[in-house]
Amino acid sequence: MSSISRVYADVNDNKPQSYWNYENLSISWGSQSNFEVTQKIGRGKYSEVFEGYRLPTGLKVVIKVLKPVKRKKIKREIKILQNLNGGPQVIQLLDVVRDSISKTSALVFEYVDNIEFRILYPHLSDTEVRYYMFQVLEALDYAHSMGIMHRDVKPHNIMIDHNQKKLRLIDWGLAEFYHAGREYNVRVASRYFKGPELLVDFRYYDYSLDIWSFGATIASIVFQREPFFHGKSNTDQLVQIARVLGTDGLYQYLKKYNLTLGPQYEDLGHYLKRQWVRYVNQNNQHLVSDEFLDFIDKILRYDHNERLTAKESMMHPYFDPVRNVAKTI
Amino acid sequence: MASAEYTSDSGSEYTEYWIDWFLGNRGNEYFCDVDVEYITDRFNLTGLNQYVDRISLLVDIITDRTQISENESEQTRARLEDNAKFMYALIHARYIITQRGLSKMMEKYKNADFGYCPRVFCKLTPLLPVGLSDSPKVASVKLYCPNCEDIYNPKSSRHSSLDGAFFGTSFPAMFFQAYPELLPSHSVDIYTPKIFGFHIHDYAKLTRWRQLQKDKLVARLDEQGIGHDRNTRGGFVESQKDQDEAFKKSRM
Repeated sequence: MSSISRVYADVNDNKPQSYWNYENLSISWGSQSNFEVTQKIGRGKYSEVFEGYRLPTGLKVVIKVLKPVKRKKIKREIKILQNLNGGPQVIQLLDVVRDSISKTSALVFEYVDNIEFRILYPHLSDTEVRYYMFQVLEALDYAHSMGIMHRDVKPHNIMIDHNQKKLRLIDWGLAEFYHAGREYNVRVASRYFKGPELLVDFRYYDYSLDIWSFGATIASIVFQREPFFHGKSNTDQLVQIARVLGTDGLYQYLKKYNLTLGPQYEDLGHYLKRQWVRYVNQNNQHLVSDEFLDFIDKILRYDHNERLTAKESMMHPYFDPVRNVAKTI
Repeated sequence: MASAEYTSDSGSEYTEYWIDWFLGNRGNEYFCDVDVEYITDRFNLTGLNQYVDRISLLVDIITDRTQISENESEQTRARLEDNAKFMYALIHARYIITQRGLSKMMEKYKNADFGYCPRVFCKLTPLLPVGLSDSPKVASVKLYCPNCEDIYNPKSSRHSSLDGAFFGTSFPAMFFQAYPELLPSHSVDIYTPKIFGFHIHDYAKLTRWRQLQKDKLVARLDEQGIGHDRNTRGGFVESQKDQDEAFKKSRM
């Protein structure tokens, strides 16, 4: 059974084909000699990431050297970064360069003096969490309004320069254009942040996938449980979700979209939905509020159509204290 | 060291000259043929008695005027033979800095008997043997590259165990005093490490600084009308590629 996004469903239909048909993108490669690397700062499945400088100004940059993948994937990432360039909290693409001999391509980004999330998150105050999470929602709402879903939202992809109170949503390598009624690959996102739709192999998902991943992220920050849904495998990931949201809700969801679970879930068992308030403890109570419990309940839903959208999330009372602060900064 | 048996049997038809036998032994490829006249001139042997006894006998053995007597014990014969080799090698160090010795070593240099410099940018410059001391039993022989002006360990173990005093500390410098035309032109190529085609910032910064200092020096020399493009020690010949790159950089 198909499903269509409640919002921004026809954004790409109303844009010229050149906007979303990234396969026709012709890339103008910049000169690699303008950049020099200083040290490795990260590594991913699809890339090696370095800190470096742009010459002759000496501007600090991040250089993401792409491992050999299909040209199509590289074009998609570049096109999406170009489409979203200048958007709120979207990492800025500065240049695209290529080694003339090996043809290794690299994306050059603005530098963010990030503090590793495992170190930063436990020190954040209630207001700071609300402030930063509002910023993530702004980025997501912008991307969604531009017809693009990120598909890999997680703490690792949220860079925060805490001194400058600057946040950037990075790694748009898995991002994709949303076209209503199109089937998408469910092998996206990172396990702990995969929405139920991916785990039950529902291919008509949409922007609301990002809201689930966002929910799993904010739940891990506020409840100080990292990751919040700790699955040992993709199968176990759904079990971990069911232990929180209950199995009744899962079966309702499956029934609504006419889905069936695979044989690996034969002994799933029966779980009752736990009240969110039960995750509150001594260590995290300073971050929890009634508004938060109401908010998390409205975004961590099996049914992607029931989840608040990014825009609706931003209007939630949880963000009342930071909504105007964020606008002025 | 495994070496061929010295044929002292006068009746054998395979009798060889001692020096030819010595030079033919594995591991002795770095040595040249020292003239008999040089060895028999007692003046050239001054001071060698501090290292070996019975110099006259050893000279006679080396120059085939006598053979080690069959009547001597096996032990004595072996010791005499070792001393003869050792003395030849010490005479060799003195001989190769004479006019005739230098010319023999030049042939060996041209044949690259001492191997080639392992440094890539030296582009197979032949090496010359050198000692770090003129006294024996201090340091093994090293190989000097006149291009990068650095020294290296010999590749093969049979050469790396040779005593550096068999060649001496003065030989390579003396060699290029005699044959300045053989000095190679120094290449200015520098290896720059890269990652996926990107230069490493710290190395690149240093390279830019070096280039800047060099450009300044050249400008100063030009100003004072001092030639700097001659092929001498410390003089550098730029390849066309380097010049092109320097030009491009200056335009940037």
